[in-house]
Amino acid sequence: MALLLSDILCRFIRPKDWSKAHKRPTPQAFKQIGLSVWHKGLLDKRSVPLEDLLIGSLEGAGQAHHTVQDYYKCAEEVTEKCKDQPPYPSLSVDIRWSPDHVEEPWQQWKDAHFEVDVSGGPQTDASECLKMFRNLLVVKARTKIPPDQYRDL
Amino acid sequence: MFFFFANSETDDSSTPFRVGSGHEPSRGRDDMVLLVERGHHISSMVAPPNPEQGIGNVAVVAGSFPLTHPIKVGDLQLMGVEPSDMYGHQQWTNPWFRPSIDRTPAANWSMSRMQLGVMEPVVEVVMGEIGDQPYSYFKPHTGRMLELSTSSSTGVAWSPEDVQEFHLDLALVAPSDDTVRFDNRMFDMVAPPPTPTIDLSEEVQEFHLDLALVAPSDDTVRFDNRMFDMVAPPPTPTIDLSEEVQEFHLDLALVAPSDDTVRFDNRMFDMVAPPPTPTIDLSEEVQEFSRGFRGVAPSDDTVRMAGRIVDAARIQELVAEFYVDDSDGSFGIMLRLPNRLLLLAELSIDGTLSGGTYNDVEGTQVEFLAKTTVEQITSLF
Repeated sequence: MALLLSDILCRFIRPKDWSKAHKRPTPQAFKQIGLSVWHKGLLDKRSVPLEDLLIGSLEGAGQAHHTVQDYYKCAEEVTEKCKDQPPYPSLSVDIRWSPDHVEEPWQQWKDAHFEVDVSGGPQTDASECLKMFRNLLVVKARTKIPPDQYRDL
Repeated sequence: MFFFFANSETDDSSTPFRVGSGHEPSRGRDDMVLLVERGHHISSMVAPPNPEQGIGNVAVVAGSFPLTHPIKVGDLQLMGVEPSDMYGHQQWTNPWFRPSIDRTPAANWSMSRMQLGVMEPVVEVVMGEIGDQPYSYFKPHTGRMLELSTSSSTGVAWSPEDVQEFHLDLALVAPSDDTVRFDNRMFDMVAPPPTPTIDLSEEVQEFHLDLALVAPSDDTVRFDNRMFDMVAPPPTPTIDLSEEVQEFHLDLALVAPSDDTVRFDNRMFDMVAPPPTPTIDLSEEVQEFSRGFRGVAPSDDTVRMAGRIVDAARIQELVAEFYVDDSDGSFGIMLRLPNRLLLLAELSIDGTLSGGTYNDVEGTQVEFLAKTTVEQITSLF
């Protein structure tokens, strides 16, 4: 099955990190970049109800929607903004389909599973750049939510 | 003949005093001269002051009377001591009382008051008997013992040498705490209010800092405070004393300021500083943040940083959300700025603060503040 990288990915957010009032993930939900990301289109095509993925601790969780391009674009933007700041850190994004390790409840949907790793250059302190990356993910995730579905925040 | 001298060998009043004529043993004691002053318990027995003569504060009494005690006014009068004698300024204007000898402040001030006729106690009259031999002596407020002997003369004839010796002796010994307190009180009562030409608050603070190295006594600190209270006008709160005071405390923390110093400091702050705005937010999120993460707790300063941001957001009535990240214990801030941009900031446990403003309609970053300050963040509000 050909993957369409422009397809919307969904990422389940822990209940604690999901703001029901604002219908969006909290910023801390994006701190752990390696959290599972699902290919929403694949799941839909296989008629996997998203509710089936809400197992265990994810009960009552929300979804953050991204595209793969969102991740790459975030990394590019941050790298561009940081390039003039010594020691010139750069961010690299590693997206892995069907990672070796998937939590058991979601093993059967492993092929629709994404993992994203973002890291800075080896000799740089990329912590600030990673914060920028996370924040951008939050903001870009919000663009996937119709404005009338969230209030001031 | 009256002899008056300081017995430098008897600093302790419990030590048997010497009866002497000058430095020599006294030969007789049928007459007696009392030097008393109003304000002292003995003086109240003698007579009220005589303000017309301008010297009523001090009575130099010459008379002949038996040494019984307690002495009463009537005793003196029965012994032929007239009020005019009690308040006669002949003795009072005696040049011996001039503070011509620059000695300890106690000696100078005391004698100055005497010359000016100010009603201040200088000595305490102590009377008693040793066997059949009555005695009396002056116990000055220096805590030292001065003997008073008597003679057949009804007049006062103190020699300049005796007075000078009194001064010299006083100068040789360190004044006791009582003397200092008495001295201070004397000064408080008679000194005109000094013109507040300098900012005493800074002076006093500097004084405290200097003295902190040598541990000022509580009396010194109290005197200092009282002096400041007396003369300093309410200072204009042109600076934020809260930071000053905090810095002052930090400095003094190295030398363990006394409780009095801290109290003084607090009082100074209360006097001039406006009511401080609560700087520590006690919201649930800040408390959670203060508890730390995996055994590592943020410093008090870091917790205050979080509180200041929360306070500022509340004061500006911004829509905001605060949270503690359970992955690393950092304090998160998300709020809508007045310019409609979204602010995302993060305060790490180690006190590192960073944040950025974003256009969440277009999904773009407007500005990112790496390792910024609370002031920079709140300036965006």
